[in-house]
Amino acid sequence: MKRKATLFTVLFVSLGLILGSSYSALGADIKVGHLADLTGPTSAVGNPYAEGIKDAAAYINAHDGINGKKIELLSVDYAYDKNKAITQYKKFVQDGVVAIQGWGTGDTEALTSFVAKDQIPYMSASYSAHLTDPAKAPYNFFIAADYSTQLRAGLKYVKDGWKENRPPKIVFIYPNHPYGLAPIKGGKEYAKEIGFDIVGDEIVDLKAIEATSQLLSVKSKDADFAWIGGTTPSTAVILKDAKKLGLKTKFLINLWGNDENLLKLAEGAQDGRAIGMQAASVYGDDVSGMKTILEVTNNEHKMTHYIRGWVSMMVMKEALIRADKNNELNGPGMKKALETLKDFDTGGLTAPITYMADDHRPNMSAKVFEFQDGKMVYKTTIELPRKKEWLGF
Amino acid sequence: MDYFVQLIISGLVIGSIYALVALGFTVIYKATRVVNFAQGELLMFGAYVCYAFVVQYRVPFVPAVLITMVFSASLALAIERLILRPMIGEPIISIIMVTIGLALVLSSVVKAIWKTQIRVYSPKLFPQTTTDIRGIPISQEFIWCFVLSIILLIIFSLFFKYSRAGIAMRATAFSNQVAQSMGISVKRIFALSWAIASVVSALGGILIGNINGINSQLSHFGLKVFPAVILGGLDSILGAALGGLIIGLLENLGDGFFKIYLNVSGVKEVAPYVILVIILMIKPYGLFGTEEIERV
Amino acid sequence: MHYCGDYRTTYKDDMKIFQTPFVRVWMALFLLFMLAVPFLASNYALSLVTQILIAVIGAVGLNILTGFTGQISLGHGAFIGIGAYTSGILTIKLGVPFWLALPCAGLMAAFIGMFVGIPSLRLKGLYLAIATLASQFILEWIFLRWEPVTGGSYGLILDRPKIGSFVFSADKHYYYIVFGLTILAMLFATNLVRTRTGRAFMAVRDHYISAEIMGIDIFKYKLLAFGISSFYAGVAGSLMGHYLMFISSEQFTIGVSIQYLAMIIIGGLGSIIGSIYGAVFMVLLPEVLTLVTSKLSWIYPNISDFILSIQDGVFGVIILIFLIFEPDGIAHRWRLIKAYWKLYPFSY
Repeated sequence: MKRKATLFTVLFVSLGLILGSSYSALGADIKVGHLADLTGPTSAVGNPYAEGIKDAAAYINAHDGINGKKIELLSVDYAYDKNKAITQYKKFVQDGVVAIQGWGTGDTEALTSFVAKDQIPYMSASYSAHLTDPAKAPYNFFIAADYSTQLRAGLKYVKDGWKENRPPKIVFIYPNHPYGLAPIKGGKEYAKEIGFDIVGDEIVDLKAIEATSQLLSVKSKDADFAWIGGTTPSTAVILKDAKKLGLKTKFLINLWGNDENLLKLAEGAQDGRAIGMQAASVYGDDVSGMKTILEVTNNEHKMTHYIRGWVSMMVMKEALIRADKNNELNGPGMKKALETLKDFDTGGLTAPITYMADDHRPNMSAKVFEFQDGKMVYKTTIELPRKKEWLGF
Repeated sequence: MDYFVQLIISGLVIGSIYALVALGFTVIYKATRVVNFAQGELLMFGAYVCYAFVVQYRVPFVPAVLITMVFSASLALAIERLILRPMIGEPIISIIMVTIGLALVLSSVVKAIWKTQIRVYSPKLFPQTTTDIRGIPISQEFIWCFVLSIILLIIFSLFFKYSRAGIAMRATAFSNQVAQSMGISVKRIFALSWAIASVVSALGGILIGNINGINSQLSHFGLKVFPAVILGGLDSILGAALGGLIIGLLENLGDGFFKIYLNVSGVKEVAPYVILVIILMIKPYGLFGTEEIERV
Repeated sequence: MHYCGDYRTTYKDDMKIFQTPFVRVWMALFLLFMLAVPFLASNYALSLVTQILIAVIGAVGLNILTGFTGQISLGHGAFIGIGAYTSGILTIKLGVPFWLALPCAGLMAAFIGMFVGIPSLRLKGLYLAIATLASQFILEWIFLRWEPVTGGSYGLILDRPKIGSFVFSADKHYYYIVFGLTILAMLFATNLVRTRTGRAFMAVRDHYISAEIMGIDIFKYKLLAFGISSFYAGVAGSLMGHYLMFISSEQFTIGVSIQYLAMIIIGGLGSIIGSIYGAVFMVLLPEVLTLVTSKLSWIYPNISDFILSIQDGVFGVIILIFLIFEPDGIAHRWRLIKAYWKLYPFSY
């Protein structure tokens, strides 16, 4: 009894002590917050992306830093929990970060109004089009063409290759999730505009292990094309069921739905059936920016998400340098610096990046990959016009 | 019409997976009155252990499955001895919480060992060909699931009806004290039921893992079984199996029906729970559960 | 200090909230301290305290239902969601002021909670737990799918409350709203369990057959418990929504329900004060774990993956340890520690 009481007293006291002590300063100059999902539901892609960010930060610190200053990356695993993201965000603000590297749809949507209020640029991997409109999300930035642009690029790609003289039929397959829903409206409008016949919508959950009923419906509608706005596991399910049911449909797949994992998961169902949209190069591509990555990673293969994480940090680095030169190393200064980026060359890892004060679309191009013989084969890059009316949709 | 026939077939197939997981759940509940919220995690753990043997240590599939079964059984025995036994006699809510805590621990152990990347069995357990049933092609994995859950169902029914241990388990379920006074070791029965449940879940995990790879999201199956077991009655083996099949069916039919006639899609995710509530309103103890009659 | 011995001669004395002047002084000091928190604490600490207070309201509510009346609910997270959405929709879409939307949120949650509680007439224990689990999933689905009203998967963006032209936009100011309501919630709950209703709840929990024999209308009191509990949840949800200024269905999942259950179990079932301990514990524990893991992974970068992945596991282990070694919760342990030190060094 006595022992237990002492034990618990000690426990509470030590708990108090741990809480009392705060972050120890690491003696670095520029603080950047970093929210990552390393253990949560999106961790399969969250890990390589976060790794890219961390490696890039370490690389920058090892080479000149930001005009000699070092970046201190405050990495936190928020496990895709919005409440935790908000709490951590408050801590970042208190620690005085000048910018934040975020992650997915969940944290980005939850924090959009906060970062606008606190004036902290938030770079993330949630490429929803509405984040590109500075009127709505003044402090959000990302480095890939938004989902809607990718969808439009995909539609353009298949329409250009369409030979028959009837309108191609298309179905939209997506999960009921902001990430899946984001590009649907804009995509449908564009599909109609360039002469697609939209024959239906199907909902396939991100956690589905079969999608027979949905694909039977696709089959009955005799769709020529289908858009998949899911993640890799659910995309694999769709492709496998499509193969099983003998669908002739070709599938256009959103950036998060086709990566190296798809080859493993879809077991051949992807070949000749899947067309993937991507924003960044694949590991080992012959572009100038890849050399550094190969060197940093010792030729150990990384997923394409790693490269986007890397580029995101490199873009932030450029903005930090510019803001530092203007002596404005703070949130508004960073925003200004980011908005001066014009055709910023990422070494071919992604299309050149431009941000304008009234338009945060980084670029309008998407890389198209087709899946052939168990490989992702690069086909072309689709460049769309920077239309005003597409901003934010 | 053909569309609905196809929906029925695919519903039965997915239902058989639910049935398999529900079976494990019911075995534990029947003997020990513990509601196991960690069922999904046991399933995931089994899938990963099998993956480790097949892919990392290159053991052929059949021995690997056997090793996994042994492993899952010993894991369950350890869990029962260390965590569940001290909880005997505690209120239901504490026991529910303990299994939730257990679920957290198991899933983090999996993440610590195998990381978060999606894993795929190679070589595959089943050939990648499909079989046609009334024009709807079905993968081998699903057929195996179906067959396996029926075989397990038969085995368990016979086990509970005729074997000594099975009868002892039923007696324990009926009343701990009476069973104890008849010379049955209640502790051993508890341990046995956990071991059986864990092995069954691991088999389920391996089958599902074969369908679409394994990652930490696999444990979601644990929650999916609740409608199935409630429909069948928590303590009925036959009920669990039938419940699983029926839920699978209703899920698919409901989805198809709403899509065609009301143009609402995405009903699949919620349909089982709506059914669950309706069942609870009409038949609180499920189709085959033991009714507890109390009179004041 | 307690008197050494009980001098209470009436039942009324026995029921006092503050038994001795000493306790009263302590409570007054504590209140003063809590009022000063916004001036003392950093932003981050303040946000934690605010979250704790909101969690306290929710946990007290769940404790009334589960701890006092013995009805297990796995749908508390969804009821909190009802409150958040009701208040959000009223303030954003209909322009109702927060001060009116807050009670409406509570009432709406109470109404839905009572509806969900109807099966408790026939269902007991486990079956009821699973019925509430089903309502959790159904409500979650409605939050996500009823897009015109709930904003669907995009969620809603809320404003902070205001009086006249004064907006409680700073966390400091908002804290006082939350704090005031927490005090009200605690007072109501403490008094509730001292009334006939409270005793009826406990009778239903302890032995419902005897309760029925003694003339307690079980169904009425079960429904009432569901109603009060969900009212608390609704208020907590409304406060949470306006605090985070953003709500979406992912914030009210089964995980939240489980977290609240863990709070009251760890804090102490059937103990109002225990709800506070539980809320403090459950809000701070993940923060402490994050802090420790981020420190550790900075010191040992090679195994940072490993440390991160066991974070949840440590959480689970702590729950397990509590349940196995301390099934009566922190409130009970706290009493024992107090008793021990009171008699120190002459304890038995």
